[in-house]
Amino acid sequence: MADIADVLNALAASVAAALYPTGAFDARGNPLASLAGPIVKIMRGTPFAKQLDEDLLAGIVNVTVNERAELGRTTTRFSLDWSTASIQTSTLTAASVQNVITFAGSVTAGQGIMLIVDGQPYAYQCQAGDTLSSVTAAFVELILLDRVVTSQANVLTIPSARKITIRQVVPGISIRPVRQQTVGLMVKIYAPSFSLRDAVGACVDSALATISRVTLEDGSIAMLRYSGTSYDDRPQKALTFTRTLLYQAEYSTTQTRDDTTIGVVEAVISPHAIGGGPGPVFIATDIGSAIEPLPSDLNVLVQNGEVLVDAYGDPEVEL
Amino acid sequence: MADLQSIQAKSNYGLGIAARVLGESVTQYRANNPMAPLDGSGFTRVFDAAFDADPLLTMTKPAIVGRCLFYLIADATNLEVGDYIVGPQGQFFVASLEPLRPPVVIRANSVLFLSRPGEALQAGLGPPGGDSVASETTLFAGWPGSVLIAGRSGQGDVDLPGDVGMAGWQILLPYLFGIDIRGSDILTDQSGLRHLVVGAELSPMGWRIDAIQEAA
Repeated sequence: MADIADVLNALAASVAAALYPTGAFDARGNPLASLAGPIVKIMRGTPFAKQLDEDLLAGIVNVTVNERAELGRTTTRFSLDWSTASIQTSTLTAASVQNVITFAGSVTAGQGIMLIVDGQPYAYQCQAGDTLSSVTAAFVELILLDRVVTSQANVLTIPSARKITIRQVVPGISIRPVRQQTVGLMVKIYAPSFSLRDAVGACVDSALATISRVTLEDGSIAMLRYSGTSYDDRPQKALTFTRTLLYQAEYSTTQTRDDTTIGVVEAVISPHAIGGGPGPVFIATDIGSAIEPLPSDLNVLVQNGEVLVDAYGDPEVEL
Repeated sequence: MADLQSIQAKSNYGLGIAARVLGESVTQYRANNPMAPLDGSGFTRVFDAAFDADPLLTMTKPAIVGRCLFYLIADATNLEVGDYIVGPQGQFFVASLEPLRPPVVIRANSVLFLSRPGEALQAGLGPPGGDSVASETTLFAGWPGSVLIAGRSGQGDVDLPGDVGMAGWQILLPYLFGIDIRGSDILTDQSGLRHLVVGAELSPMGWRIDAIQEAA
């Protein structure tokens, strides 16, 4: 979920990358001088006054990143639909040879396997602590309700099965923008002298001038644009010389939600959708965030807001 | 020929006899642990003591509101500046032991915890700056001290319609374990009220601290 905080975090990270492209500490954990010369601390918000006093006396420069509310405006103009942000890679695999299914790989909580045995779906979502054997046992428990099944360790045998389809189901994250806006940002440099202020200011300004797109934590993009700078020498009696760099960032406020790829959909017999075969039809009633295309062996029809899926994947069926 | 030490010894002896008549049994604690000065892990002693608001020890002046300074009637032989004395009249700490003069003690009306905001960040990108409870380090805990109101000190930063201004406080504490109290430190009392140290003066009698109530 992108928010102004993510924009500020991303900008602070960009400032840190400009000043410390190879890290701020040596192998022993000692602080290093920045690319601009002095040791620099970068943070959101404002420095703690007492700490800033001590830092400036020690020749350490502080750089803060904050928003400027007066420069904000709404610029919503893009689609607000859900789209895919990320999908896990499946670590659990299942392969069938005739009527024998072998589970392999590693078991990750949240991932799942769906077996469709002669049109009848059986699905299991892995829990924390599951093993290949426990996943196999879970399927035995499910399938035994309908037909004979045997197992040994991670191998499942369904003697009477004529057709077995296996689908992997993995979690993912869907995202949608709910508003676009431009916000004002400022990068403020607190230095103990003119020279250190100039050195750090030039380094930050130069580096940020090359950045027009900043990737936020949720994967969305903020567009960054320079909009001015100012100096303030009034607090020099407190050994404080400041420079403020102003920017505008346009970003989307987003919502995210946890989803899974489609493996199991709500099963409802829908005879009118059957054109050429007797197979039941699954009607997926909530796949607005379908973050993975349906398997290519399924026939799919979107009709009156419902997605009709032929469970047998019978190519002769005309939906 | 009598010297200062022998006169002081006689004075202590005489005040000790007076305390047995006028005073009550109290317990002396010498702090051994900055996180619990009254835990009894250091030197302790039970003796008789009386407390007088009059340095002439006439026992004619009653304690009054807003005054925390008292003079001890007791054999001060084993007392040191910074010792706590706990008895029926409350908790006191020894502020001054001058030759031939009665010991000066401060009556504590609060128990204080000192914390110091700070950043662990030494360089590079750190967490959001500023003061936060999470960033505070506790330097001492459970120290009885005197917290007396000392006027008002401006509005809170949030400036809510119901704001009545922040109270100013004068806080007296013993100087123990070499712990420095600085501006911006936080002294929290047993009720959770946070006092922001504006300035702290270290005198021979301990810490005299100007603080404001830290509140929205």
